[in-house]
Amino acid sequence: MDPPLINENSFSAANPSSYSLTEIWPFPPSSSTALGLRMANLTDRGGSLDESNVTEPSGGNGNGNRKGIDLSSEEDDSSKTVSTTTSAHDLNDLNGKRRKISGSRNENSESRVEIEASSAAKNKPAEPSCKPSEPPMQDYIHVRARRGQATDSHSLAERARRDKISERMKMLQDLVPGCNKVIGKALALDEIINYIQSLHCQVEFLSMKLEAVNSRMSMSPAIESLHPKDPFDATGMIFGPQPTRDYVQGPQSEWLHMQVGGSFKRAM
Amino acid sequence: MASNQTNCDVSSQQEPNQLRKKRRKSTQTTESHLQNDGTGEAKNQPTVRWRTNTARRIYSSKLLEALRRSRRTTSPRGEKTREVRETADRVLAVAARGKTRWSRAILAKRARLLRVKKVKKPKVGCDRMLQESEKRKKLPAVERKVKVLSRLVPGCRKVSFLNLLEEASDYIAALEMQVKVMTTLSEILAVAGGGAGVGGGSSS
Repeated sequence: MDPPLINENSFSAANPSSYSLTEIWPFPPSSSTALGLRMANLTDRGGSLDESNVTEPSGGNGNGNRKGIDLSSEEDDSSKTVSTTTSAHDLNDLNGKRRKISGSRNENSESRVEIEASSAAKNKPAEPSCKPSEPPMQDYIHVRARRGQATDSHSLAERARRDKISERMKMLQDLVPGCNKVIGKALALDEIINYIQSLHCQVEFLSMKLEAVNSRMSMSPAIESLHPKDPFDATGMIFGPQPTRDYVQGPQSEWLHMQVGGSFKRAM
Repeated sequence: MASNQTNCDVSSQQEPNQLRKKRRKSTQTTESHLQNDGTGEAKNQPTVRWRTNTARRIYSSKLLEALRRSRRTTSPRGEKTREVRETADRVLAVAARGKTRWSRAILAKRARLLRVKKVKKPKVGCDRMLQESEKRKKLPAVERKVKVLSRLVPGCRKVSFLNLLEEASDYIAALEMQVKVMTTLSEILAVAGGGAGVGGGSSS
């Protein structure tokens, strides 16, 4: 407890660029186990604080640190036994410090505080390093997959596309009469094609009929003066100025007039 | 000539347009109140777009004008009579206001015909097509039907399946409206022709 406090104060006062612990720590490095452990603690503290000092001012070194941390985590097994004895010699070496940190991590008994501190210090560089594939995750839309369905981006896109297609097919099926009973894309498309062809035929037939009517109308000169402002008004104009009508045509035209006038509403 | 016709449309329809515009405005406001969900998506649906009374009115009046003009200009005709059909299709494309692919294709077809006369060049890939048919390469059933559908809808040959379905739905709605208007119009004009022919001498 006390030594860490002292060390923190001393370190905060010290130049952050100096990495050598021997300059700061007045006591000579000893290889005794008790002191060695303490040394390990202190060096760990030093290493962790140094690392925090290193990482904060220089963002460029972040990658290097990340790599170092990865290496250190990999080297955990190898450097277990080496950490305590070589702690003194590796003080000046960054790699050494990382190895010490890894060593401290392995020494769970005493270095819990250090681990916490080191993990707290390393939170910034460590998090992205531990999950190298995850920073871009924040830009993605998080979708919860349905049961039994993949969350792959490709399959998601495929699913969206299929949904769009089915939605449009449903719209088409509503338009085409008789398509509701059919199940399946191929048969529905068959119905749609038939319907479009029948509509084309109807348009052809009606255009021929209109042409016949046109030619008949162009022949008789009385029609040319007829300028109906509106096809709905046309019926009024046609039937208005003709009080005397042929008996045969009278009831017929009345019926047609009523039918035509109401056909639009009915046809809706 | 397409541009000329649109100009003539504007000039000759000024008087009747006033009457029509009033009615158009009133119906449009009521329809927009009914259909406006806040998203504006309801108006864009093909069923809504082509089934409103305004759309029918616009189409029928424009068709009448076009027919009257074509009657005045070209009476002697020796070639195949497809003029009324093409006029009707063109007016339908105009009524679509250029939002859909098939409408633009119909209008472009006419413009292209007028600029350059149709010269049928032999297709270079024809031999390849023959070879393919000899090999009997059977595409999946859905794809074959998609090809047929793309040929039916004008201007949609190289369009993706998704867009093809959308274009087809709009095209079907437009064709339905076209059929209804032409039926009614032919009936009116037939009656008008018959009535005026009989009572023409007495009234005027």
